[in-house]
Amino acid sequence: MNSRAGGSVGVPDGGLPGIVGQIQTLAQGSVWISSRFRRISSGEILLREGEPNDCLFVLLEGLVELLKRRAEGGAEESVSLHGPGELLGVNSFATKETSFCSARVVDSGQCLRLSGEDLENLRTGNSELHSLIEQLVVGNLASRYRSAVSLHLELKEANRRIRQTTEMLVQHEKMAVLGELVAGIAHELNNPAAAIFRQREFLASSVQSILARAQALDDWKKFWDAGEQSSGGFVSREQFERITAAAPFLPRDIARRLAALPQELHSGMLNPSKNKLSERGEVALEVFEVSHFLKLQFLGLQQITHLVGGLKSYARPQGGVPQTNSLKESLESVLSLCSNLLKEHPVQVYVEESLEVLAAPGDLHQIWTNLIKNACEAMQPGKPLEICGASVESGRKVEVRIVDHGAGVAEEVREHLFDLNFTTKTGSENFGLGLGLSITRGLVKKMGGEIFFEDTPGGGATFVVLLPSAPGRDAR
Amino acid sequence: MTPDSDFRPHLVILCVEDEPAVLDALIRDLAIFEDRFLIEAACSAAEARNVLESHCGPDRRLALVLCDHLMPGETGTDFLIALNREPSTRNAKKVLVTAQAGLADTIRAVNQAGLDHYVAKPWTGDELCSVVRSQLTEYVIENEKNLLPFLSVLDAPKIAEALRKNPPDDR
Repeated sequence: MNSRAGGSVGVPDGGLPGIVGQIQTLAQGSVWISSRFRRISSGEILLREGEPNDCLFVLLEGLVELLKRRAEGGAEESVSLHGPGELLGVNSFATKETSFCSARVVDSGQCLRLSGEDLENLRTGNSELHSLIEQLVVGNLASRYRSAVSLHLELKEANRRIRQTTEMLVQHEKMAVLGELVAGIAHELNNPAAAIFRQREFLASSVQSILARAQALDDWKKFWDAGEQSSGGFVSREQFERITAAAPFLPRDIARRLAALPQELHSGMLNPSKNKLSERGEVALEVFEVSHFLKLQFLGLQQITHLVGGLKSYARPQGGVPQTNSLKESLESVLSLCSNLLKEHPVQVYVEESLEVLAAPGDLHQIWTNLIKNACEAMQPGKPLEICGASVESGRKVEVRIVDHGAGVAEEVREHLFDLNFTTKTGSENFGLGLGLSITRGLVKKMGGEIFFEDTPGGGATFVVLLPSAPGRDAR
Repeated sequence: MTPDSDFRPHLVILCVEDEPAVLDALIRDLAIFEDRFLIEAACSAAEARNVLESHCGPDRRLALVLCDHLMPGETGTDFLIALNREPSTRNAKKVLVTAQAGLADTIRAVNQAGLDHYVAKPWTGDELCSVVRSQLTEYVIENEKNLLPFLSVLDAPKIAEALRKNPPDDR
């Protein structure tokens, strides 16, 4: 099916040009025919939409465009192009209704113009031309039918793409709304977190002051400091068993609490029969635990603040203004937000502290999030994820490699990897709209970088992102 | 209170949770049960398996597992399903303590692991104790010959009722 701008053309039937040739031959021997030939010039209007028409045009040479108004009084749209062998005005001529389209000459040429009376005469008289006209009519109708069918299919495909695009937009919209909500939530979280931070500090200093005054314990400071230095990790079994072995009649929950205290502070904590805490022991342990809990609160609050910081960068519109970013911090921020995903995959980061990238921070986050998420989803639980960063091209660029050990990317899929709407994730569980990598590539390009794919030796996929170094770094 | 002076705790409560601070809090909340039960802790399903292997046996049976769902390596749900398949741990009461188990995983836990209770994080101390008390009470009634030692720390009315129905001589 030939297809020129404006729509399909009903030409392909090899017979149509042949018939045109035959008509021209006949015309040479017939004044009747040749007198009905008309030259047509570019821009000339042969038919007007909405007006009656009493002629049948057989195009012999040149190109004519059909036009239709989009709506009452609206702009004209080009519908299709027609060339030699095609008929114009058939509808209006045959049905006596007004012309459905306008016809305008694009390339000058020649046509055969027949009136109703002419056709009647042909029918009863010159059978050769009449049969040629008949063939043209059949040929034209056939090709119009074919073009209608393929237009229908094109339309269905276009509709499918529209639905897909709409879905994509809805997803985008959701993400955008989520981004806005996240900004609000991050802000809201920060407030109580900040308050708790302050209160915790006041509490810490108040309790210490009470202890100093209460004088319940001369060396209370030792136990307080021990609590402050505790790491928040869990009590070891060995320590617990050492105590239960040394004091078998001590209730186990007390043994467990005691086990959290550093070994060197254990003297004098138990009564002589070793079946409960001494008075000194009770106070000392409480002092230690208050300090320990305050320390745990501090660690917890730090975690919240860190997460909130990570979220905020997503919420900035357009990813924020390009600036110098520490590559390591940028990656770690995303890794902490993805910590749920990473519970099933040990991750190793080999990135020097000094590497810096010039980019909008939110965009960077989005790139890492997408690649890390893809990597995790491609791997079986337990498989590791590696992230490596290095300075390349004499320090002008930074190369980041995100290495997974999943199934890798099949040959036939590789050239489409970054295409819009391309995805190998189907099915309700792991649904993908095929946007991630194409958006990622868009972002990488926006910051003047490149992204490409390599095989991981031993199996898996490696995505390599090259980004411009932040200016001001010396060449390495 | 003499009947239980010779009592040696022989039932294990196992806590599995990968966040140390949370595990710590969980254990502290169970302090009141430590008199009558052995409390074991693990940071992952793998570690939990080690603990069961080296510290549990015919005289130290698993009575209750409190398990987080999302952990590195094996998930809590998968671990509980495995426990449900083993004859030695099948009767143990299984409780998920978690902030994140989707519907699909929860359904699996109920249907394949025989989940007994689901505690959503964050939990209150009272809520946890009440759940643990009720689960342990059920366990001892179903599996233990001698219920008297547990009167002090578990659901006394229920245990008394069970004793009434099945006096010790018949057990």
